[in-house]
Amino acid sequence: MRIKEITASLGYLILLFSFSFLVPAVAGLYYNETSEYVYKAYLLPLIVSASIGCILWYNSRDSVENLRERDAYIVVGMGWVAIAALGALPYMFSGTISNPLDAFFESMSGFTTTGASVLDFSGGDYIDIYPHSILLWRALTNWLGGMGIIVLGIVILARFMHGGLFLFKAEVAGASVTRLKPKLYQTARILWAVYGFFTLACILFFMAAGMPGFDAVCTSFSTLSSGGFTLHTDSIGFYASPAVEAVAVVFMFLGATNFVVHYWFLTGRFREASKDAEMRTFVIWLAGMSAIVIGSLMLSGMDSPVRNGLFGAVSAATTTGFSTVSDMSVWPPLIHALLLFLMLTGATLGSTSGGLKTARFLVLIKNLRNGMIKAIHPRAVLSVKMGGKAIPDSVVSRIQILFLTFTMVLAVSVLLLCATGISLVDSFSASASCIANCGLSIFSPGVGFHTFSPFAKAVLTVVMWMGRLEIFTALMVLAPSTYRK
Amino acid sequence: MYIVVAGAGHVGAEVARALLGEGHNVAVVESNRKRIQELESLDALVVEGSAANPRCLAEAGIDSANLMVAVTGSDETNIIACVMAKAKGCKTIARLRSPDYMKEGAVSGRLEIFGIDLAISQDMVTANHISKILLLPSLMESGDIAGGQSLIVELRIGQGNPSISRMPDSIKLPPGAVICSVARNSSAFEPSHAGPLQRDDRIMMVLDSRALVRPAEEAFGMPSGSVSAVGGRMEGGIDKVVIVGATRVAIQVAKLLEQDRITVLVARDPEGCARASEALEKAIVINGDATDSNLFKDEGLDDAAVLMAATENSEFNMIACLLAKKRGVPRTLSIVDEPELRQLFEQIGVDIALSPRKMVVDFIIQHISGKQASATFTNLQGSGITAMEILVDGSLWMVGKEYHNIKMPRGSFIGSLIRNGKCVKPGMFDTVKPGDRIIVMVQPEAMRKVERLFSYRHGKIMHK
Repeated sequence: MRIKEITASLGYLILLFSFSFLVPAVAGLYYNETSEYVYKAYLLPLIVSASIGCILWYNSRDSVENLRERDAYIVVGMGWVAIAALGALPYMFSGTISNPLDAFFESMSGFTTTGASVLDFSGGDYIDIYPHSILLWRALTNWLGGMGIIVLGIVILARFMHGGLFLFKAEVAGASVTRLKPKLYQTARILWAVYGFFTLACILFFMAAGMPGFDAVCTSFSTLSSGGFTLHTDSIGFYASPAVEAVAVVFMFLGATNFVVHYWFLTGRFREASKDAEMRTFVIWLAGMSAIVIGSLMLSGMDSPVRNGLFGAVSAATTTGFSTVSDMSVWPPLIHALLLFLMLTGATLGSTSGGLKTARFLVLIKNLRNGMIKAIHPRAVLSVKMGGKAIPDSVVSRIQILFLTFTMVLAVSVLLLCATGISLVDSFSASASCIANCGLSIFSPGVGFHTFSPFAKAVLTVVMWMGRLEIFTALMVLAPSTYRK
Repeated sequence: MYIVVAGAGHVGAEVARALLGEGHNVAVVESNRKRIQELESLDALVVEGSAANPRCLAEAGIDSANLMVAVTGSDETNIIACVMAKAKGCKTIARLRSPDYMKEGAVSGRLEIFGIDLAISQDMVTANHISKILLLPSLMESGDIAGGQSLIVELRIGQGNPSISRMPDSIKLPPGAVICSVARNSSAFEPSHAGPLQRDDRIMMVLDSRALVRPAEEAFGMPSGSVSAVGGRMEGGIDKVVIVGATRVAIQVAKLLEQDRITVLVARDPEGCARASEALEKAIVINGDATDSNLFKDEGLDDAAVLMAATENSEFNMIACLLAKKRGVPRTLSIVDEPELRQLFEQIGVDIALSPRKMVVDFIIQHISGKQASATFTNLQGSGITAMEILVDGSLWMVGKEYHNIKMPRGSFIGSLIRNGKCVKPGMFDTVKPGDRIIVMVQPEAMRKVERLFSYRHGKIMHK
């Protein structure tokens, strides 16, 4: 580990990140919030993070060119922690969430696009009791975290981030994004451009569906990033509008599916786009699961089963975590299980969704089948194929390791939550929701993230962080062997 | 520029790395998965597959590419890749192993029938380069600068050289010669900071003209080889050259030298010898083992002035050189396949170790960057440092500043200055003037910073 190289890259990232405080600050002034509030909530954090960034960068500015692969893991892992910590400052300084741990949880939940909230809603709807600017900040954390902070850093700081390639690999695990252009920053730029384009479209569609402008912006941020923060305690259900729900379903799907495929679609390469094996599987899988959810809701005699069932299934599978019903606990247990299953499998690679992703499951299942064939024909030479191309064994084994560690982290999290006295069902639901960065809360009545003990919240914060970095990068940061000379 | 590199062997990977370093967009096509894994750390689009396959080329973005560099191991693949790239409007560069595609004796050239803009014969590049170096007793490398008027040379301080332990500044050089740098181990020093000269130091000098090569050597007390010019035609001095191996490079070098020198080619395999004797006229071809002491004595190889080992086996080359040295051959040159081993070879006692691959990479890069006039290098292989020539034009930001006020990045310094065709050391109060050619000595890690310093603000960097 080489401290200077790491701090130089971190410094750049934090410096870049500090500018994002300007967005809620401007919004605060626009919505006539007091200048003292704007200063305390946004300018102070801006000054703090900009100075930290400057100090880190200035001390080691000559070293940024020599970032190595193992250092990149630390930069990305620590970068996410640092940015979540700095992103918690507005909540703390403005008094929205005065407890530092809760503020950190909320911020981490935002950046990892989990969308689990500990915001206090005893006084009424979020939008009635909190200033607009802080809600915009909350949505913005979703949006920034969705496509990835590091990827954004590579887009903007391409010239300075010489370790960009390693950083990209550490954030986008297994480099699952197909190169579209020879230079990495060009590919990253396309991803962000498509992301921005969809966000804009989503805002317009939401407004056309009757949402107020501010709601449309904030909700779009959370929709495309598969984040799930909303302005209302009733989530999307507040609007009680089929049109809004339809727009949300479409854009949740777009945000949670491969942006490379979207780019092909937008540039008219339909043949390549339609051949993507993972996309096809995901669509079939999502359609099938939605049908089961809808059928089961019908059988148990719930209200408007098609609307709520489809929305719930898409919200879980895309790991967004919006909901249209105020209390899911009245739904039959089968649906709870299905939704948890959907969020753990996640959507597709190269998207903003969390979970394990469909392609990895495809590989695991095909590998399992190969294993069985091998038992019958010991001399058979088999390869795992995706879309006609063989997947190298090293990639297959990496996916197996990921699956194993993912399951282990989930199990340990459930264990620790149970230790704080939370029931097994709620522990599992909360852990799954956090590791898949979904945020959908399927809890027993009266239980929510805000009722958990500080220790449980701390555990879940770590789990969200690990989930977003797809375990491996997070493990590298935590493993002592990384720091040995 | 958008450049597609076909083939990621040693040459391909090095070319891709160098092009990326110059800021180009690079796509690499390679069929070997192992090699692809080694490319992981490059910020380039990597396509798995054959470069002769139109689908792979399309995937690599040949439609929008400006240049195709075909350096796979197969001539046929290179040609097909270039033909296809040409059809898409690319410029094309190909390395060809077989000399028969080219005009007899040409190093590189245009191949109209295949649409190859620059076909490079690796063997000819190597042979040409080697034959120049072979004939100069102390000269390691030479390169032309200032459009061919001046030249940059590298000398190595041998054992027992009278200038050992003298300060570089105290050596009285003929006018028109300037010491740019002293390279020791793998780092370079300004002459005034280098301290006393040591054995194996490499001195890099800029000379006004070729005529100064000999006086400069004399100033350092180098053995009098009575060299009068850089190049193949020389009088006196070396008269016997031994070449070990019957590879294409070896035969080619022998061909270039046999007219003016007594040339002896020794090779172990009879078929190679047959090929060599067919290709050569005056040179003597001997079938035998160059490491065999009897053969050495019988054939009178020990009174040769220089021995070059150019078999395909690097280890054998090294041993042949070391044994020859022990038996009294004053100068030895070895071909090393792996560029990384060059320095090690020279430390052990081989006088010069050269890597053909590195030469081809340098040749290609110089061609590409020279065409563009964006960056310029004279890569002196031995010490790993690069002499960069910068032509100052009126719009460069530093015009009018004093030379000693220009803060150079760490790992680089101004070696010399060519003003009005004369090499000088920039004095205390000299200011930067348009038309100056600044020779900057750059270590690899500082390359990017130096380029930024000069090229970012409209400095015009000229290729040699």
